Amino acid sequence: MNEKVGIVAQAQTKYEPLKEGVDLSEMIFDVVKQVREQTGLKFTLDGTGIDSTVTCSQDLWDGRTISGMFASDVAGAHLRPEEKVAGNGVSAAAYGCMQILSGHYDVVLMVAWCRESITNGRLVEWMSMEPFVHRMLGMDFCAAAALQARRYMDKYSVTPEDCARVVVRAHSNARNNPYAQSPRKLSVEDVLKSKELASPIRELDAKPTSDGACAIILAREDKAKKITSNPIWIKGFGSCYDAHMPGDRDLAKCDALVSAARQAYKEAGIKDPAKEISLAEISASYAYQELMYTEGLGLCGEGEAKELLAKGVTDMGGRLPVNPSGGSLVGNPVTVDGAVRVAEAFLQLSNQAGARQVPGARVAVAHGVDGACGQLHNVMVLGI
Amino acid sequence: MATEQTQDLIIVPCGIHGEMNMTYRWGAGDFLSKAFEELRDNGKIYANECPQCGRYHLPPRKVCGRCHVEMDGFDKWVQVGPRGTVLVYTVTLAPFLDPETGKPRHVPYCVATIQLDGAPCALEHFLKETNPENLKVGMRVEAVLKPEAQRKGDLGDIIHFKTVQE
Repeated sequence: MNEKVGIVAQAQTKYEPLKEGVDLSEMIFDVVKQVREQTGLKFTLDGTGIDSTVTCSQDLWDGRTISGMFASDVAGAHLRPEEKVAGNGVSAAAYGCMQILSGHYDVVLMVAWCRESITNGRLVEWMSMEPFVHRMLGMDFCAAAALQARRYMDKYSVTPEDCARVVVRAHSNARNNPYAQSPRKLSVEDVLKSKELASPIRELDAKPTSDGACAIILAREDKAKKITSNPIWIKGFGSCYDAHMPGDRDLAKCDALVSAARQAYKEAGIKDPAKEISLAEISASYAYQELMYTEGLGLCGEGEAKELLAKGVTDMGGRLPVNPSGGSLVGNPVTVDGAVRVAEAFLQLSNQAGARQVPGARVAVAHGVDGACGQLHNVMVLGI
Repeated sequence: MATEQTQDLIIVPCGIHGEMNMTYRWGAGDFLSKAFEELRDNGKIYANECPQCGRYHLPPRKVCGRCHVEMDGFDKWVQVGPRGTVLVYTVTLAPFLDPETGKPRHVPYCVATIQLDGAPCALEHFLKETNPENLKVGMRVEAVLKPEAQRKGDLGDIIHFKTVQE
């Protein structure tokens, strides 16, 4: 990228399985207010404050058609611009970045939200499935992921124990994260004993239902430097779709992620991601995906992520920590999870990550995903 | 649902039927909850005022979008109505969903934006009157509430607004 866009602030709610009675608007306002207060910025039309809002939510989860509309007041879009991304937060943050790079705006608010608890998430997922084949099969994301898990585990001799270790580490890391939903002290046996949802995926392999919101503020280089002493720069972004029909792909691979990562690394000037990246925040709804996406991001070779995990390379204190926040396996709502990955990368690189800080972090990769078996992947490289 | 065969092509009706309804449980938050409780328990309609710009919200809201500030708790609540003035109205003749029953609502029905007495703010609700001959902008109306025992704590506790002569 010729011009630089920086992230200058982030805010997150605590993630909870059920924010009973909480109005979606209040949850959104909570994080928007925080980033506004951190930066001292107001919503303005004269170029002195926040110029535009990008929201990130999905209609069927919210039960509202064009679900950005009800949030205009709390998201700073009263008689002002707002664009909605119905995808993951990495994509929404990239959209905000492009609004700045295009010259339209200088400072952009991105806010993502979802209260998964308010409806039947399996039906929401089912409604995203292909209507002539997969809906008839009663397929949701878990069942689709189970097909992929089986294929991936079979091809690379990944065991249920390997996947369980991912869950154990996620919960262990999450204990250092004040936003984390419900980190538990788990053993591999606990995971293997949990209820089977769709073989080989068990309850603790899968992300739990979660409510929450996350906001970030992006700014053009000159303004970012005025707003904060340590902006974190977006160095590269990549996006790639895979085929909608799982049968059209080799499910053991995540080709779209490989392509998205390649694009992001090229833009960021990264030649050897395994050496140059300090930490990765990966969106994984099921444990096997964290391994698979570690490979797809080029942090190791195909089928090697379980070895990295076993050797502690991707643990806190290892050479390349994966999901110091704990990640979505501990609980981040869909649409918000990508935003959290960017927000956590920002906290790490600006040395504000508290007990989960990766010392000396200089470059981070934030990953977002949408659709069954990871159909759309977004990769953002951030650096100091 | 059965597959339909048109002249040449197959159409597959695909939605959610039967026991697994797609429903949502929206939290109303503390402001709207209090407003609905006042309506249910005391038969009162409230609006609230932004302490910064003086704009009124009906029903009460926690955040003023214009100023992007939070309201000072329940300080600036004012009772409005039950009488008001019709600003605009429409009589619906194509039946549409009644969310209470999941069935089409009986036609005709009249929806209006009503400026309630007491503060400059308006609410959309039903008018009892549906005859176009008797409807006009500026007409005076009054809220008709359900009997107290039947109120549930939502906007349906107001049945409709009836025409009043002043």
